[in-house]
Amino acid sequence: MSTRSFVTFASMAALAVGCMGRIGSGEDGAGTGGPDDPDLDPDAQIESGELPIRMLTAAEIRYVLGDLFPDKDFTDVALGPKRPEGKYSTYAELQAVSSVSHQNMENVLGGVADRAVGEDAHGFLGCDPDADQACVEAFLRDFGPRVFRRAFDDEEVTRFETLYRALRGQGDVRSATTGVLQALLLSPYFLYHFHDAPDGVADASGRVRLRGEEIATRLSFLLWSSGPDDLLRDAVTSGELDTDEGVRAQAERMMKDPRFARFAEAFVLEWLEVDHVAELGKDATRIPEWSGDIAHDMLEEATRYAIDWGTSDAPTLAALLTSNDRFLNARLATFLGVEADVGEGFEETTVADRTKASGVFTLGSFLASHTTITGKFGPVYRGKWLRKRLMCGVIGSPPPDALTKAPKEESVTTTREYHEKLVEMPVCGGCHSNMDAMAFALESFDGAGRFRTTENGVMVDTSATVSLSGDAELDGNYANVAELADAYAASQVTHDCFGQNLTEYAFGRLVTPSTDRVQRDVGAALASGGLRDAMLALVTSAPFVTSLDPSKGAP
Amino acid sequence: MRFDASSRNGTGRRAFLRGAGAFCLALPFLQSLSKPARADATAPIRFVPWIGWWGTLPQYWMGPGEGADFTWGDVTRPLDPLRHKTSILSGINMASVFKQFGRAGNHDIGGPSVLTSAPRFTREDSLNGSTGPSIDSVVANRLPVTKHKSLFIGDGTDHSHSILVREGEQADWYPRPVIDPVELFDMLFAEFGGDTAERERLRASKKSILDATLPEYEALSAKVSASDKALVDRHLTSLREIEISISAVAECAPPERPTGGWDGTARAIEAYKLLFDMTAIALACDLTRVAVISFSGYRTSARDVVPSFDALSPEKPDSDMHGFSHGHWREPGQTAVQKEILIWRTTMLRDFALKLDSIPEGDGTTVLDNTVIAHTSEILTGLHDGLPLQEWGYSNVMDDAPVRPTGLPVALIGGAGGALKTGQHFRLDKTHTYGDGLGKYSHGELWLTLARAVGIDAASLATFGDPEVCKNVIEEILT
Repeated sequence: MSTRSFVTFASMAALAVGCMGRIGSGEDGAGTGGPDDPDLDPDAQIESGELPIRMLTAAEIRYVLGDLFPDKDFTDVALGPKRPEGKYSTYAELQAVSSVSHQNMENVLGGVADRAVGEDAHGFLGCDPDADQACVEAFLRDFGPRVFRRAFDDEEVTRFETLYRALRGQGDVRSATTGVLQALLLSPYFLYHFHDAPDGVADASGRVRLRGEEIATRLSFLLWSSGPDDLLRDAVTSGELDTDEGVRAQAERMMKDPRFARFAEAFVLEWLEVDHVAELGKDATRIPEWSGDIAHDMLEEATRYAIDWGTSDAPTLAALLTSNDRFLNARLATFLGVEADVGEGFEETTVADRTKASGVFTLGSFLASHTTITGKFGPVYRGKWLRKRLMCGVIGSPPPDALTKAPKEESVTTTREYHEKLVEMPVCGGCHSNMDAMAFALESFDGAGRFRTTENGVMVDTSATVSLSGDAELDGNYANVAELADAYAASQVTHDCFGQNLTEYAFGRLVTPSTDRVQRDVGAALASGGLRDAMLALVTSAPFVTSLDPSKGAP
Repeated sequence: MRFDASSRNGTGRRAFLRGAGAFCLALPFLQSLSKPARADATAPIRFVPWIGWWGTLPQYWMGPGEGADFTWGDVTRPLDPLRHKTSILSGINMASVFKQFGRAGNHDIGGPSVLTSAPRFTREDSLNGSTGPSIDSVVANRLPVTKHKSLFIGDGTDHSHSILVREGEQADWYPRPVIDPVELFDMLFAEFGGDTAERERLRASKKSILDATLPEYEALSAKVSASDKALVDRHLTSLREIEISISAVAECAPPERPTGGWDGTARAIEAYKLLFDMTAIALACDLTRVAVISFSGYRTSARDVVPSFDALSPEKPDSDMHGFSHGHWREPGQTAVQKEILIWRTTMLRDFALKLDSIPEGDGTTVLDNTVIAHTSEILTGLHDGLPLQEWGYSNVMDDAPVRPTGLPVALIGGAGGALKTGQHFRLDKTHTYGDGLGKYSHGELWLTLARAVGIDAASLATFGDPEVCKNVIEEILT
């Protein structure tokens, strides 16, 4: 974020009525350590962060199982932390495992082990453990490191051999083999990401470079949602990952690999908060045309859009926010009211009318997800997303009596009219004027994402206002979604915020201006060079490739 | 239902915990709580906080009268078959919330407070929670060890609250209630199926795998940074709980394993019933002695629980259960629907209690007699408690005059082994200890009193609640 926008925001935030702020500045925008804090030098070299231990995400577990057992299909395995609202599935802090959730993991991974071993345990082990004393040890030494993503020590070999013998005493070879595999999969070395305390020499800022093996794991899980490939392992052996140049070279290679689509899909869908759209229900009495098929189509549209963007030649934030290329099938196109020459299967199509195709803002999943089940209050929910996830603002909770003070729906004809009344009320307007007014640009789409020119017989008015953005050039009035998308695409605030989101996804934790400066570098790289440059800034940042020297106290 | 002698004897653990809390003995408020309310009884005593979300309609909660000479309101009337085993407490308020915020709370304030009575925090990422442990954890830690330390079932709400906080841990994560009957069945009863030899083999296998896994989590805990250690240690604690549950050999006649998915509102009602029934069996079998039931009903629809829904014809969609709880100041139809929803919720509570009451203990008492189900809510009413109710035309039917509602909807069902008086309506709203209109006792004091009623040594309860509003024991309800 530039100094200019700090100043602009700080002065304007003071005018907001107690509900607006920026992440890291407290709910009311007046906390310490945030951009409003006069003691904080925005250019200070803040770099205190570490990447916390975290559990593999559900997608990562599926991809890793796919790599371990290439001839089996584990795409149906649903395990891993649920994405907390407004956060990423990588977010470490809320991933505490209870005895119930561990027992659920036992059941699911027991089933995985059972299917992986199959009926032929000898074939799975590659030997007959009843006839060959060294069979289990050989299996563990070969297979264990692949499960643990690191070397297997003798003590571990002994522990799992002992387990095999105990289980063999209780059952047959197959059940004992399955049990050992289940135990390997329940190990923290399979389920969690973490790094060992580094043993190198600390630099001037007290940080020590991680071992190449750990950097490789971080790279591959961030960019591919799975473990390292042979080339990356070779880069560990050769010492290539011991330098930022080497890390950059590997990351560049990996972002050209088709597996980079996994990152694009996971990140973009979670950022948009549309990853659960396939389960989205709508009130059948108000939106009878809604169906599970439509919801699945919307997920498919968003997934294809995200992957196409992430794997394109030059993925920029502007392209993500403004492209008029859409991925539709006939069913979804008809439902959404978008004229497109597509058949039953999904096809890429360019929609000339940008009021029907403006990047992520016109995705069916985005529009339908950010309303209520009845399709109402779109300006609130869509505005909240714009403010929080696109501009990294903080919105306070409604006051306890908000609902009782809200205007009556019966008194208005259009959604916009209702929200304009809301904004006029002192108790509501302080917050809603900064949310709803931006989202009016999306009023040409109803609560199910369908294009409309009228609502209850009245022409839809899509004129929208952005205020208190922190960017004087972004603040202003826009006629429709296309204009709004273009304005966001040009703003540094949006790039800074997207950089912050990328960093939070990659680091698995909240990132604040008061604790990290990485996201500013990422945002700047995003603005100047696009997604790939932003990712290179991330993977060569100090928290990603180094750790604090443990001899100076654990963080 | 029997346990190994070793697992049943919780004396050592309790003695330890009493010692851990000893530093708090100096606090004056504990003096009044220092007497155990009951001597050890033969049957286990169970503790079941029941959170009926979104408050009630105060004008339909209770009718006139008090003491044994009370009348039900429409919402509580379904409890009539259990009248002599039930008591209603009027005048219990969240003094901790009033102290912190100067007013009653909303869902995001009352939710984290309802079981903790401790100050609420909000972090910069909008996560909110309580700074103190919830009463279920405090009680479960002091009761003899059972196979499951406690259960958390029901539905939560359509909000994201953290209502449970384990003692000794930060409220920076969200324990989720078990909402799937199959999941609850497998957790409680899966091991009771099949033949004895196969069951024993599976148990031994599970134990062997756990023995191989535990050391890895222990080793990891020892080497990660302090901030990472908290996450690893939670997992480790869970593994140790599982270890205890594997070792505890239980005998119990399990119910049938439920089948199928639970999509659709109609099946949601069936799912609730199964959850409550299985919880009743788990309590009866002494698989656990603590169960938190979180129940708003939001997974179902108003049309499915209110037969007259279409006749009442509110404009709201039937799926908006939460909306009805707020909608009742708007128009009579919504109020009428909300009243019926609340009555349905009371019948679900009653049926759970009746199930417990149908199971004999062997000494002439029933499981319900040795249980206390404590129904309350995170707010008083869907008005979020912030409004002068007269403005909306409310009158309290008890006094036939426009007044504030008289507190949280507290109903205690079951006598906790004879420790609690039953069959009465206790009007505790005539004096006000913590502020105008807040009644004689705080909700934190309700939990402390009930903890004492289930046999917890009061001196060990100092970790619970904000001491400034947890000073007194509700002697009126104790025998």
